[in-house]
Amino acid sequence: MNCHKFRDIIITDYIDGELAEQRKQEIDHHLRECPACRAFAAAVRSMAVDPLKETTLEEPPAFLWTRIQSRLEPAHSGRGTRWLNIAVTLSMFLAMTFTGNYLVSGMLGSATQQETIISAEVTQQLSLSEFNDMPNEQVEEVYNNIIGG
Amino acid sequence: MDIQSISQDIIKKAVSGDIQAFEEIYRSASSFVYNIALRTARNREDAQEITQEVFLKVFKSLKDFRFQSSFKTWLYRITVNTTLNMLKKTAHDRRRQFAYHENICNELPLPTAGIETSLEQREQKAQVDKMLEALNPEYRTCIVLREMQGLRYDEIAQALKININTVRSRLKRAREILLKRGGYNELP
Ligand SMILES: [Zn+2]
Repeated sequence: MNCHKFRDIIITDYIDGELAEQRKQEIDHHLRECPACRAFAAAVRSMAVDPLKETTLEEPPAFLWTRIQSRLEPAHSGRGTRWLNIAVTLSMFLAMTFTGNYLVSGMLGSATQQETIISAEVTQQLSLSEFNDMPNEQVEEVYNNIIGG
Repeated sequence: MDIQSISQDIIKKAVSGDIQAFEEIYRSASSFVYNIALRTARNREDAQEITQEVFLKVFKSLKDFRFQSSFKTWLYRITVNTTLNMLKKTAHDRRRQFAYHENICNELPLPTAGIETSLEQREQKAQVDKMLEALNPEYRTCIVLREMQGLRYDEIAQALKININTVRSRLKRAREILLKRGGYNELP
């Protein structure tokens, strides 16, 4: 194994303690013999690992639970609720009618309109899982497009 | 209390709508969720909103949780997805805002700093912030899960639903970026 291969392992599995004992000893042995790889390992620790490990964890503010809890409790039943139900049903009916019309007009509409709909769907479906099979460079590119640099 | 101390019994109680049981889950797990969000979004307000959204999602979907998988990785997965979605959304909003105010401001606002106890701590946090800023959200998420939460490769793979070799290559790339940033020149 050359230094390049050793460094691939040093920067990942070795530093993170993911190696089996025998493999770890192999790397330890190489580090004792090779000053360049030793410098590399030290640089990885001091520039890319240790500063991040030392971060102190913060507690979320106390009001956050109150805020969450208020959203958990089911709505109290009462006079208001019935009107709310009617309003919800009515708005759902209107929304359905509207969507129906929209779909029909979309199907009959111009190509540009359809393109807009499709691109919106694509954006929506672009979730984490879509990146799984992409090579890193590609993922980076997609992210740069989304985040904007 | 930490995330490991959440029992099946508590989860089952929470599924049946027991708010007190759910509060116990929140107390044990909120710090983990909040810190992942905080390190990835790098802004307290966003981190609070992400934490809130995560726990509302957890409350809703706890009944679908399968006990074969670890609660921790399940929660990490929800947190990471919520955080990345929020980042996409805010990036989009900011871009729109930016375009709108193009003539007024030349730079995007920096994340607001909180009250730190000492100068040393403040400097250290600023350094960490800058390091994380150099990474794209995917690399950043891997690094946060590894360094700040101490997850093993297989746990990160589960949390992000990616191959363990992808975890490895992302950590490698992220650290190479940080090395370069630190001014390390590889020796021949
Ligand atoms: Zn070497």
